[in-house]
Amino acid sequence: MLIRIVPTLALALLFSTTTSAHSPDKVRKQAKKPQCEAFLKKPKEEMDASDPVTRAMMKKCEVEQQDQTESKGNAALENDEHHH
Amino acid sequence: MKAIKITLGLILLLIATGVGFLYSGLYPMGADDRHWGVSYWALETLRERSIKRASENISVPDLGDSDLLLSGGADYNDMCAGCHLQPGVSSTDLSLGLYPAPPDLTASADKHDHAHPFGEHDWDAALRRQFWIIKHGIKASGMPAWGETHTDERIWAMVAFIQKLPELNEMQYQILTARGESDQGGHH
Ligand code: HEC
Repeated sequence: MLIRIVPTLALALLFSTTTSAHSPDKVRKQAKKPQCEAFLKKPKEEMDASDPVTRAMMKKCEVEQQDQTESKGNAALENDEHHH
Repeated sequence: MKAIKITLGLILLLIATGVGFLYSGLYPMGADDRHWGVSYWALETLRERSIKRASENISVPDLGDSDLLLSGGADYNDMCAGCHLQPGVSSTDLSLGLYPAPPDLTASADKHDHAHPFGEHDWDAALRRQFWIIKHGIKASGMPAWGETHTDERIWAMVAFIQKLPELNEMQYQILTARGESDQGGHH
C-alpha cells in the first residue's frame, strides 16, 4: 500500500506542471484559395511527376482551374479571368 | 523488526514531506518557469517510454498517395500550424508561450530535439509515434488529442503531410494546404 503511494506522489510532483491549451489562433481563418499562378507557369518538363508533392500540387491546381472554367457563366469570375 | 520500523518511519516521513510540499504552495506553477534538468529528463523519459509501448502494435498504412498530402495539409494548416509553425513563420505566440514548447515541425527531424529520442532509425516506429501523439495527445502539455474528433484516416494523412513539411517552401505549402472553393465543407 505505502509502497504504491510513494511513487504516485513522486509522479504527482513531477506532473505538477501544466500548460493550458487555448484554441490556436490560426484555426478557422477564412479559407484561402491556392495561389497556383506561379506554379502553373513553370514549364511541364521542370516538374517531376514522380514526386508526390508535385503531383499533389498539380492535382490541386488542376481542380482549381476546372472550377474556374466550369463556372464561366458567373459574372464575378469572368471579370476575374479578364485580368489574366 | 527494528529495521522494519525504521523503514516504515522513513516512508511515512517521506509521504508527509511530499503531501506537505503539495499543500505548501511552494511549487512554481508558471509555464514561464522552466523545469530543472532532472525533472525534464524524467518527464521526457516517461513520455517517450510510454508512447513507445503504447504505439508498438499500430500498423502503418501506405502513406505514398499524393491525395493524403492534400487532406493532411489542409488539416495541418487549420489545426496545427499555430503551434507547430509553417514555412516562413518562425514563431507564434503559442510556439513561444507554451511549455513544454511545441516542436517546430517544419524543421527536419535531426534539428528538433525529440524526434528520435532513442537514436532509433526505425522509420515505422517514428510514424507510429507521431500517429499516436496526434490521436491521443500528450498529458500536461498543450498537445491535444485529435482522435476525439478525427478519424484515423485523417490523422494518417496529417502524418503523411508532416513527413514532407520540412522540404516545403512557402509556395508549395500554400498550394497544398489551401482549401479551394471545391473543398470548403470538409472540416469538422
Ligand atoms: C496548442 C498547441 C498545439 C496544437 C494546436 C497542436 N500541438 Fe502538437 N504538440 C504541442 C506540444 C506542446 C507538443 C510537445 C509536447 C511535449 O513535449 O510533451 C506537441 C507535440 C506534437 C508532436 C510530437 C513531435 C515530436 O517529434 O516530439 C506531433 C507529431 C504533433 N504535436 C503533431 C500535431 C498535429 C498534427 C497537430 C494538429 C492536428 C498538433 N500537433 C496541434 C502543441 C500543440
